[in-house]
Amino acid sequence: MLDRKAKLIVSAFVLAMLAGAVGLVGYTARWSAILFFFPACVMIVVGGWQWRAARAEGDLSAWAKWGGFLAISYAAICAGFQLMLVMTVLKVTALPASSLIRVLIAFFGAQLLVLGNWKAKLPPLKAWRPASLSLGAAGEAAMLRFEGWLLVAYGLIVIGSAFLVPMSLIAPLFVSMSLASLIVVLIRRRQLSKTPTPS
Amino acid sequence: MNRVFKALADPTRRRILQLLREQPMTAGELAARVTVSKPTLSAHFAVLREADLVSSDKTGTTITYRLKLSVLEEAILEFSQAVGIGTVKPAKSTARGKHA
Repeated sequence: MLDRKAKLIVSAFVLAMLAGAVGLVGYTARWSAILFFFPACVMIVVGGWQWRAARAEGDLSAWAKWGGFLAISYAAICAGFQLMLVMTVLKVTALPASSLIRVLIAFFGAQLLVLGNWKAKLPPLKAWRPASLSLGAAGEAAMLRFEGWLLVAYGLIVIGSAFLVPMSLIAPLFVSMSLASLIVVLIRRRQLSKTPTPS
Repeated sequence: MNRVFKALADPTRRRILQLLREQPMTAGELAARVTVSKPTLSAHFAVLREADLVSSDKTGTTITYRLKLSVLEEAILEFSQAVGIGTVKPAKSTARGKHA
């Protein structure tokens, strides 16, 4: 669950991004969905987290800090991408846009690195899951450590690819990695659910 | 970070963390699997708690310890274990024992 400060900061970022998008629509006199992509990403990710945390039980103080960092850093990075979009359309970038985008991607990787490292240390979140995927306390703790390692590995690959992979391949790479990570997480959860662990 | 390195430098504390990796355990269960006296074990728990590597829940008179390792801390634990930081080599300790 996000605290008031995090909600205000994220709201400010989203409003600034929406203002930029609306401003561009007015400037170019043409509507484009891509202008609203980044604010939508923030609203989906942060809203999804808030929805999930609101339905969790127990002491959520550690998760609230983690969620706050996730929300603020993600909103800041998306605001950076939105700013790049605005600057590119207005043709006011002093540096090549691709270099700045690579730096933002590296920041995104660093964010994943921090979130993954931190996530492994958190207590299991007592939130609803489908019965086939729910684990005992020990299983949930093992799953959190696994997800932490996966996020750190993902973050390292994102940072590396920000500087080494051609721009045209970055988006397909991230989509493939995200899908692969999701499948790996589900497989690991199924494995742990079949392993008898004390709750 | 100093506290983490100090905590992970000791083989007994590393053994405790390895055991907690399997599942959360009570102080009694850990005492049965680690060959040190109870006061020494309590001191180890205190160091681990101070370094924020374990958390404990007290239910009645039973204290249950849970692992609380970040990815970086787990990597340092693995590295310390692989290198054997803090472990005394048997050959050298025997030689020292003879001279002493």
